Amino acid sequence: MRVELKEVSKRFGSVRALDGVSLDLASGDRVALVGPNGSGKSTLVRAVMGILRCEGMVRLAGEDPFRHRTRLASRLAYVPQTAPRLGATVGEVTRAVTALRGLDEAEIRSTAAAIDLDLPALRRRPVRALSGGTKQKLLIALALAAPASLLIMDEPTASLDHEARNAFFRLFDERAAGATLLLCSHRLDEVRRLVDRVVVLEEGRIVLDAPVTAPELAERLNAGAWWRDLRDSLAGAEERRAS
Amino acid sequence: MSVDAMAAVQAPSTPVRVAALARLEGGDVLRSRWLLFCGGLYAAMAVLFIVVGLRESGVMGFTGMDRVLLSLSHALVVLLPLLALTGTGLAVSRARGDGTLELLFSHPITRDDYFGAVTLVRYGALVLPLVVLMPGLAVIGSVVFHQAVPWVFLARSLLVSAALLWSFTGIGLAISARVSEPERVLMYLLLAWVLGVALLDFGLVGLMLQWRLPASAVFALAAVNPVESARLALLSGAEPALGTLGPVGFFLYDRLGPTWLFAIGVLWPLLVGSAAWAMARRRLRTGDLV
Repeated sequence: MRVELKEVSKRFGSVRALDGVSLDLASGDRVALVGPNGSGKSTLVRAVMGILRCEGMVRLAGEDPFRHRTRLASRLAYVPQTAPRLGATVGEVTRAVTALRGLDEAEIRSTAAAIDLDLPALRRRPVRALSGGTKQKLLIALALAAPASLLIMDEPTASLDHEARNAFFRLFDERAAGATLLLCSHRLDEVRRLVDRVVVLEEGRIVLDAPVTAPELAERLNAGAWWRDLRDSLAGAEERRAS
Repeated sequence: MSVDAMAAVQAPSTPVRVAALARLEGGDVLRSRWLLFCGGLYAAMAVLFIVVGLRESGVMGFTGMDRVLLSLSHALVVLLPLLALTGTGLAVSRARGDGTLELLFSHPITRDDYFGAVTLVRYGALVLPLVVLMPGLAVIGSVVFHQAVPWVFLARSLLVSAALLWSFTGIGLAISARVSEPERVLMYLLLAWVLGVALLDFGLVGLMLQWRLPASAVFALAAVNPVESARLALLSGAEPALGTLGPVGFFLYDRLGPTWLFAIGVLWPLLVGSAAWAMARRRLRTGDLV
């Protein structure tokens, strides 16, 4: 799914969270949004999901996600960084998602099993009572069970251990091949493993948008700890491409 | 098949989506024991009034079971707004604050689906215990104390209570959709309840005497208050007396008569609730969801 943003701005009171952001993702692009806390990554993601009203233009597959959210959401999968404190049980949430997505529950069960999550055993457990890692696996299973052409993921492996992270990467390769990916992440291994292009946000503005091989990227990677971290992650991405 | 083609699955119909969301919301209501609390509270009040109230002495022309129901209805007029506000005031703001809305709206649902499900479940949780318990307890009371059940009065009381509940359900949802910080939500909920209970004839007459408020302002404030309308609708079956109806009530009774007083007592809270609900819906449809 193509994602276009033109001169998108968003204010929360006196705080300008996004300031004239323009971005164009072709169908199948895999892009990481990186930047310090408060740089506007979450706001940008929410604008793309159509749950924030912004100035400027946001289009998913040529349609305004705020106005045509329902139609577009059926082609979108989202993994938030942290699960909401849902009192609902795992079974209730799973049933709701199957109904809303028109899915078979077996699809969610098999997706969950692929990341070592025993869904039937957790059916009666409230979501808020699950451990951080189990909640994250549940969110991943719910998101990747349905075919999606746009994946939005906010630090999807932040609470996962090494093995679970690898299982997630395998599942991602299997289920999300060809989908557009918008990844918010501070985790270098996620960036290294999942994306081809990096968009750096600072104070609501894009300060860098480049493929990992772009020469101008290398020039900017020598200033400050933040850039050094990013450089390391991108070096990993280049290794992946080479292999 | 392309990714887009696979992903573009047929979205479920509106009733399916609303039912799925209502099940989630209903599960929350049941877990919070809200239904149990409401039912228990209504039952406790009804039992109290039946046990202590079934005497032959007449009050405003009511005796026996009529009197019990009148007392119960009066108590409910003060209590129901508080229950409705606390049952709805945090429904949307909490879901917005804890990330539930963000997660829900990553799925193919409309804002109306969500708001419809929340409204159905929250209003149902307030009204159902009342509809089940009041007639049930009236029947039990009539069997135990050998009193005839005044079905007409009971039906009128239920209608007024349901209208009043809707009024404050709408107001609670409007506050919840508009205000995000829980502390501010609670402050506005309390303010709405205090205003509803305070702006009755008797409180206003006190204000009028204390601060020399113009009588027209007192009348206007009392007349627009849905709690006052509901109170007058309940009293519309009684003999008109200034002492019980209050100045506004007495004036309206004199001008409109009992039938119109009852009709307005049901319709005005419904209108206020619907206006507030429409404001909440508009806020959700046009504003940010997080």
